[in-house]
Amino acid sequence: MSKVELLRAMFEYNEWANDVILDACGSISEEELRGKQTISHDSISTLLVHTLATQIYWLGRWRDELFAGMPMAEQGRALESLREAFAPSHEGLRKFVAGLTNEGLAKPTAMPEFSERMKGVDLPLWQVMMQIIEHGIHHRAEIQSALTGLGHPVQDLDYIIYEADRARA
Amino acid sequence: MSKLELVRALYDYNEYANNRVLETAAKLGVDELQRKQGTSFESVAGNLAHIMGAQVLWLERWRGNKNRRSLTAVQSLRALGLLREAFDASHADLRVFLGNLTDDRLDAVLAYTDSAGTPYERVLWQLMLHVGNHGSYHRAETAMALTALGHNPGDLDYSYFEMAREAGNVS
Repeated sequence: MSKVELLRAMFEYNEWANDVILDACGSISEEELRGKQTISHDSISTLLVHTLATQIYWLGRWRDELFAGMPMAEQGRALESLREAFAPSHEGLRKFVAGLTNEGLAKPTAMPEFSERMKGVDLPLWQVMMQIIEHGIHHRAEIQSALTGLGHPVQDLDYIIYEADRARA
Repeated sequence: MSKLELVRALYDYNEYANNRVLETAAKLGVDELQRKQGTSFESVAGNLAHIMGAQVLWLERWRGNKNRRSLTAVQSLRALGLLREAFDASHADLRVFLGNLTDDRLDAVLAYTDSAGTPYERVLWQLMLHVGNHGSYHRAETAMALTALGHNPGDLDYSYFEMAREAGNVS
């Protein structure tokens, strides 16, 4: 197994874990989804938007496309609209990782100019892809904690549970 | 490029991020360290002990050892000094293991039993991804608790780790 295959496994896990969280958010009201929480982005809704926007932004960069803008949690149908926006992001990521090669993973990737800390820094593509994976794990943990605080515990998001689910399927 | 390079990077990051959180936790008083904060293992100390305990137990399984200690026993530590020592030892053990690891070994199926005695068979790289991700997950909860206590550990992003490593700022 190569590094590419490992990254494919991690992105498949990322999609599975995002879907588990989105399903879990179905058990709270839109008011709770938008309610203030002591997490890094005010509410579960804004944290979902942030996680999704990061996926969309970086996939666009990897494909040399312009950022189409921040996804929105639409009023009255916040969760549904976020689900609709996550779906093409996941589909795009699946296509991108399917076409990856080990050589392509070494491609220097410029970090965003809007970040003073990262301006002028290039990282190999695989390191940026690892950033997206770790970023997703971090923010899903915050959302899971907020959901538990609202009385809606979420199933474990452990990687081995994902692998067990996949083996059963 | 091999998957071994990626797995080693994940564990270098794991050690860097654990140390960042431990440094921040050192700013807490004993009461704050053990205060119930709504994390999976109640407190900053409880969560740190769980991250460390998982590292120790899984490494024992990867080395082919039976479950010599229960997770409950390994993660019973609460004093920061003892946690720090246990993390240092665990990181050193993981570095040795990763240093001797090969791609073939990563692809090999490992038979092990969990703490309840249930037998499993899994490919080693899947188990190693699990422990790396598990640390990231519980560090995020710990970072939330630290922030609520007035001590934000700062960004723990993987890209910042790679930038620090490139600049020679990761030991």
